[in-house]
This record gives sequence, C-alpha cells and structure tokens, in this order.
Amino acid sequence: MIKKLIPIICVCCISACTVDPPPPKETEGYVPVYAEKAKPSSVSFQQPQAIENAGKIYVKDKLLYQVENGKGIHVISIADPSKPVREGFIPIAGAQEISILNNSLYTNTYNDLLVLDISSPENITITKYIENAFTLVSTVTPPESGYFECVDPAKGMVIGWTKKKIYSPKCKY
Amino acid sequence: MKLRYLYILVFILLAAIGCEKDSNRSVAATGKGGSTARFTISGMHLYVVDGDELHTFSLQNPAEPEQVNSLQLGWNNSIETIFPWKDKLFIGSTDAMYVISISNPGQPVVEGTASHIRACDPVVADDKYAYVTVRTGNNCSGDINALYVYDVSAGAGSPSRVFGQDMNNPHGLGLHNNYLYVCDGAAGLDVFNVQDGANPRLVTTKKGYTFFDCIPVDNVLICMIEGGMVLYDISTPANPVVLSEIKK
Repeated sequence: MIKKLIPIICVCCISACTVDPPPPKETEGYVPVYAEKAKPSSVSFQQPQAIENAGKIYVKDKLLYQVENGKGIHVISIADPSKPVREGFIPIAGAQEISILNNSLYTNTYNDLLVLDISSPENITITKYIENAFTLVSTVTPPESGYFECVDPAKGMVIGWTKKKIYSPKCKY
Repeated sequence: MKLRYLYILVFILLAAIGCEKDSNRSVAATGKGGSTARFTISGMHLYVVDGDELHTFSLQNPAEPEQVNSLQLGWNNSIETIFPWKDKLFIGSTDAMYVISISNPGQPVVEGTASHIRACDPVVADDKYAYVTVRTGNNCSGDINALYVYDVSAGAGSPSRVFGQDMNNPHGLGLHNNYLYVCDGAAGLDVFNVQDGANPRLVTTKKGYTFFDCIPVDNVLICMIEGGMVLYDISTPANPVVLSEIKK
C-alpha cells in the first residue's frame, strides 16, 4: 500500500515544490480510452491483415508472430525466410505481448492473461483466462509523461490511452 | 564372437537413438522473443513483468497456468523488459538492471542490481556478460544513449560495468555467435564483434530502416522495424544480408 502511494506522494511533492506554468489552451496529449471489459468468448484465426501499428515479435517453429499493438497477432510463415508467407491474424483486443510453450500461446488482453490452444489454427480455443493478472496498461497515467485528460471513473474502466488534441488539460505527470 | 559384439553395439546405438527421440518429445518446446519483451518462458514457468512486479506462472499444465508468485521490484512503472538465460532472468528497468535467480523456478529472488541513471534499458546476456542499452526519449527520462556491458560472472552482488559507448537512440539487442546486434533506432542496426565481451568492436552498421528489436534464430536475424519486420541472413554474422521485408 505504502509503495503504491510513493509515486503519488512524489508527484504531489514535485508539484508542490515547483511552480508550473499554466496548462496550454490546446496541446497534443493522451486521452483515456474507456470500455466495458469482458472475457473474450472466442478467438478465431482470420485472413491476414495489414501491419499498421507494428508491435513485438516472437519466433517458433518457422512461424513468426508480430503483435499488432492493441489489436491482435499476425502469423507469418518463414519456412523460406526469403519468401515470408502471411498465414493469418488472431484478433485480440489490447494485445501487446506474446510467448509460446508447446501448443499454448500466452498473450494479454489489456491486463488479463489469455491462453490459447493453437494446435490447429482453424480451431483456436481459449484454455485459460486470468483477470487482472498484471498491470500492463496503467489505468491511472498515460504511457508518456506530459499533459493528459483526467480519468473520469464514471465513464467506465480505462483500457488504454490514445493521443489527441486536448484543451486546457488539468492533469499532468 | 565379434559379430555378437557388433549386434550389442548396434542394439545400444538403436536404443540411444530411441531415447534421444523420446527425450526430444518430452522436452517442452518454447520459441524465442525479443529483448524488449515483458513475457518470457523459462523451463516450465511463464514470467511476466509489468510496471512494478515480476509475476510467475507455473506451466505444469501449459494450457492452464497458475500464478505462483509475485515479486515487487520497482515502483512508478519502472520495469520494462525481461530476458532469460539459464537459471537467471535479466530485468531492465528505468533505473537499474536486476539479475534474478530462478534456481528455484517458482520463487525468483533478486541476486544482483546494477543501478544506472534514469533511462530505458533492454538487456541480453550470456554466462559472463550482460549487454544493456540505455536510451532517452518518450517516457524514458534522462539524457544518455549508450551501450553498457556488465560483468555478471560473479553471480550475486552488484555487477560491475566493464564497457560503455555512446549510441544514438538504442532500443533492443540480440546476441548470436560472438556478435551483438544493436537496434539503434533510425541510426541503423549496429553489428559488434563481442568475442571479448568487455570490449565490443563495431564492425558494420546496416541502414535503411528504423530498428526497434531483433531476434537471431539460427542463421536468420529477425528485426522489428517501424512498420513491420525485416529478415537478414547472418550466416556471415559480421555482414547481415537482407532476405526479405514484411511491411504494410
């Protein structure tokens, strides 16, 4: 508890000790993305999709996986590394991470651990879902320091952050 | 008589091959992630670092992991990356590199800490050295961009820094056959000869992409770049040759 409070106390100290200029009327900053979070009921293997927001990479058995940040996982065959073949896409909301053991693929949907059985791509099944297993997406502060739109708990749960033009922001970290 | 020995020899050989196959089948098969990953698997455990903690999940039944441990390491979202090597985990945070012992896989313990000034820092390592990039920019505060090498052969305690070199904006790195590949953002992919790990020698820089992380697998180097991936042939490790691009 104390450890969780330290950053808040520090932020308070810093803001108390330094005289900040007033917030800009208009600036680029992070805005919370709210959503009703729910356990995904099923996961499917879909047609290959364009890589837009390229994320982390993982290799196993001549298959290359690249996370599409916040959206899912691209699956690419590199049996011939000079001619990669796009096999498909596994949509997973909030995905950022991936690891695989045998036929089990471990990823995250926001702050929940999701385990998929990928032994047959045409029939991917969810074998385990652990809610709030970790805190990969902060529900308190955006991924970069600076001005941001304050979190309004009435709007729901914060599942991510997006950059937008914000006006006279009241929050900063 | 001799023939009998030959039969026995053949039998032993066949049995050995049989065993080999069996043990191969029972060995858990995991893939390879990059140095900027927050998920990694070592043995029969999944290790996850979030901003403050190292979470351990038992994969006794891989399809249904169970959380067995959580270890508080940092605070204020400082933990960023995890890299496994034998019975150790190397964890990069914004102000230190942690060496974690997983001799008891379900119960990781901090074995050593190398503090550095505030910056982002992925790690790769072998028995002797840990290679760390520190960079500034975005949410990585501080004002240094460099490649550091720490001597981790002593085990417990504070690993000592044996090498440091300024870089442009280094991200992930990959280690392969005495060569270290450092993704230096828009400045390119730097290839270092690390035959002497305490004294890396830059041998070439590959340009043309903005490099974030790379994974060497056999003789192929897979790099995460802005907008996708690029694959290099590294059968001559000092001279990566583009095999293909995966973009858009």
